[in-house]
Amino acid sequence: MTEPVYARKRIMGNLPDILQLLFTGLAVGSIYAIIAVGFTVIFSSTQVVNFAQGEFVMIGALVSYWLVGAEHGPHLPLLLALPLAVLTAMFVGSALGWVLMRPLKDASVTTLIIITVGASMLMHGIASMLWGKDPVSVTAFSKTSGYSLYLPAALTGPDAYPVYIGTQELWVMGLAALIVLLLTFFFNKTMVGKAMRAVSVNRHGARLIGINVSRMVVGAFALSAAIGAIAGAAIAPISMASYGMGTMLGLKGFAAAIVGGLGNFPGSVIAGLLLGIMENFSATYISSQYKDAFAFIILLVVLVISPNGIVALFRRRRARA
Amino acid sequence: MTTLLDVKNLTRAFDGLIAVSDVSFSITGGQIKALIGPNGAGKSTLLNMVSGTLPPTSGLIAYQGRVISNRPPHRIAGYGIARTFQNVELFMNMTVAENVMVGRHLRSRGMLFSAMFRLFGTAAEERRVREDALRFLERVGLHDQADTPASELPFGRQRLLEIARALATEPRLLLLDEAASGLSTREKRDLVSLIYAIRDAGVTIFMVDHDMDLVMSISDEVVVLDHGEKIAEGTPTDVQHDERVIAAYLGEEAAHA
Amino acid sequence: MTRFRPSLTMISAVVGILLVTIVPCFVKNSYALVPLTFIAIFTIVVIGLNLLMGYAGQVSLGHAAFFAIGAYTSGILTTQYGFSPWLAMPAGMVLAGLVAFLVGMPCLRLHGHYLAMATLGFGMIIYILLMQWPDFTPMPFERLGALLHIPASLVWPTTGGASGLVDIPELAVGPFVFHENIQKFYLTWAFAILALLLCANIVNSRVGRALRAVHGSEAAAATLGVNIAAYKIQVFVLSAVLAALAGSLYAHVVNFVSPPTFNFIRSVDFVVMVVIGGMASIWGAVLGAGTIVLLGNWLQDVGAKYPRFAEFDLIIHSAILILVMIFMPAGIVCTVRDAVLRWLRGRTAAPTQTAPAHVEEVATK
Repeated sequence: MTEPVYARKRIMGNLPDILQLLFTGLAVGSIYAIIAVGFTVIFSSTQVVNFAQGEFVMIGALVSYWLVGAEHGPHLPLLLALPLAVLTAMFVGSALGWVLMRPLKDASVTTLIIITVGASMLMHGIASMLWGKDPVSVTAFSKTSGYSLYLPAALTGPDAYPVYIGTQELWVMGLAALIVLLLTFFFNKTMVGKAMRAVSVNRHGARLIGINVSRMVVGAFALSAAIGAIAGAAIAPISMASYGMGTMLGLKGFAAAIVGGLGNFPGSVIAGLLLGIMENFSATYISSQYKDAFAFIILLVVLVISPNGIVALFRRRRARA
Repeated sequence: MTTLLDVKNLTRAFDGLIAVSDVSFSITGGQIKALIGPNGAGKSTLLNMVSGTLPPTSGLIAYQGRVISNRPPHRIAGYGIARTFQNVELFMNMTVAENVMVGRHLRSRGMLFSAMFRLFGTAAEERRVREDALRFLERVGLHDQADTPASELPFGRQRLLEIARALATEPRLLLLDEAASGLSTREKRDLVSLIYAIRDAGVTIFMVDHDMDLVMSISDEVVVLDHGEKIAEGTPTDVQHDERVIAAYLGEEAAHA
Repeated sequence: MTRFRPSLTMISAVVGILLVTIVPCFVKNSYALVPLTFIAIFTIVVIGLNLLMGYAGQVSLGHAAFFAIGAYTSGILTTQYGFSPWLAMPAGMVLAGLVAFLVGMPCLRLHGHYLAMATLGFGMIIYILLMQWPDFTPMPFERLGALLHIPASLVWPTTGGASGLVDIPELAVGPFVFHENIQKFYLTWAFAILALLLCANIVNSRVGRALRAVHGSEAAAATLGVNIAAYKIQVFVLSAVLAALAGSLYAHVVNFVSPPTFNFIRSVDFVVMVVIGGMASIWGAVLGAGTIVLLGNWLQDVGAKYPRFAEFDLIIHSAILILVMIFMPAGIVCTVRDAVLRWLRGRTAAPTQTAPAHVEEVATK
């Protein structure tokens, strides 16, 4: 008779923990979502899977660190440093897009993959020379570091912990939401956005109707780099910044892009958020050591079950029913 | 003669755009059948569905009474259907003889492991495959260029090589996709006698072509497609006098003018 | 003319064996043989990857993982289970082949980049597993051990985590142990040359022709009866098995394995070696492996002197990768070879090349 009451109490007692994990997971997930969106922007306009996406994140984080907080840096205000970091990444991104122009015309997928992997390693190496190998801590966007949110005692019991709402996490989520909104507007409402989509659907046809394909390709890379850099600058105060941070973040964003269905914009956002949350929960309840492997296991499972992403799986089910 | 290939209510759509719509016809063994139609009529799409490179949206294809639609192309090749390609899909990284040797793939058995260790008469089989390949090259008159890289053949000879390669699979049905396009008048004449020779050797031929004179002179029966639909079928003379065919082609000429 | 290709293989093999035999005579310090031994080991990996990239048109970004499977299977079976190295080696190869089959099966039917993604994820998982493998025996396994009356350490092998496995035994034939650097040098090169010969046999066979056909035109190969997916999976499995063989050799030659040897950078290095040697060129593998090992050694010396340049090899390797892929996508060796052949032929006869009208393929979707 007492069993159900006991169970409810236990769940309720865990409520602050669960909300806490949900909150931080959502913040990390927002980052994965932004990076996944960056992949999607390039893939859907060039059919290139850009293995260097994570390095844009690293550039955003390290350049904004150097501009704001580094000992020998210029100590710029954040409001100035952030756009500069984004511009730097856009410059690097355009360069990569420009480099890929020639192979894009006739080279095999193999060649394109290898070039972006090479570019990733190159940025990785250069960053380690410029900033060294040690991770650096980065000043947060706001002075207030966070708020403690006490849940009503009726829900959780008398001596429960509060849920800690970090301001930087809020920044991350806000920026992610803003990027998703702006991109949706860009691709659906503006001429340039529509042209980019046209290039992805039919490169030859797009050229025929007078779209400058080269400019669109370089543009897509610059846009994607900007998105990645914002993600990097936003996550750096939470995770610290280092030359190697891009690899893991990039790969996880990439896993999200695949899980959401490569080229599927809303799919990759949802997959990114879910990945962040699930990773956070599994780190607490299953094993923190294998936290990083978790994303890749999901990636492999999705590739095996439904290589076009989870969304495609549901869509196919529905079509069959 | 029996029916070799049966096409029933075949339809193919690309993202809502219908390329082939509800087409039915059949091919009798031993004949030369042609598929014609104005540009964009869906001829290549239809051929691709028969050879398995493109799955149909609906409808079915039966070969010798067996349903082959939705089977992968390599299985269809195994059933005895070979093809050539409109844009010449040769293996440019290989020699002329090697191209035809790939055509003998289904008629030889060497596997990865035996190849590594040269087991079980691998060398003997290799010799036999090459001899076979040379024999097929002889049929199209390319045997003296066996060891030239395929990429260095002139265009007309590349078309012949593609036919030799397809014949090397020893098909019952040969699909020729625009085999005459890009050929000179003399080369076309040679092609015609080659097609007759192939037919006389017992291979049924289904060809797609633009060249009206060629098609009308050699085929036993003609199917006409326009905007993805079959608008006529019959002997060349029947088709030439069909009003819808004339309208379709006149329409195209008017558009070209 | 018929015997031209096999004889070329024979000549290369004889020249290779001769070179390998005499090289140690010119090396004064036996320590200098160590990098040459590594070249042999990596050559074995690169041959397989070369077949995969050059013929199946697929990239693997996780071959370090298969290399690791070979090395760790050898390490664990010999140090913890008392296996003979000669048994541990095939065990690792079989395991790698099985795993490759499972990972590759769903991806190889799809577009080129799916295998790259899957192998990349797979490589990461293996790396994390090696690093984080728990030292203690998890409860169920301990119970199992108690049930079977055997020590828990036999039920639950350890990878040694970040510090790795030590004291892996050397390969031996009877009382003869491959212990000295020069013995290891000959041992690894014997394996490398054998692998080269076997793979050269594949290229000049029905299977090899089918693979080259897939490389030339997938559409045409399929309509001639070549089961493309089946061949791709075979090549992928073969490449994984070769990587495992190399990994096992590595373990028995170095006697020590630890996770950093098998990280993502290593996978990329394997790709760089293939690219330098030239895709679809078996013998280029030696050159690719040689260039990267020797270059890496030299850069390491530089890095030791100037710590700030420690990551310089990364920059150089990636720069090579990008430049080669843009300007010589066929690889350095192939491009140079083709240029020489064209030059030779140009002197004997005027080319009859008439390029077919290349119609730009318009994506249907």
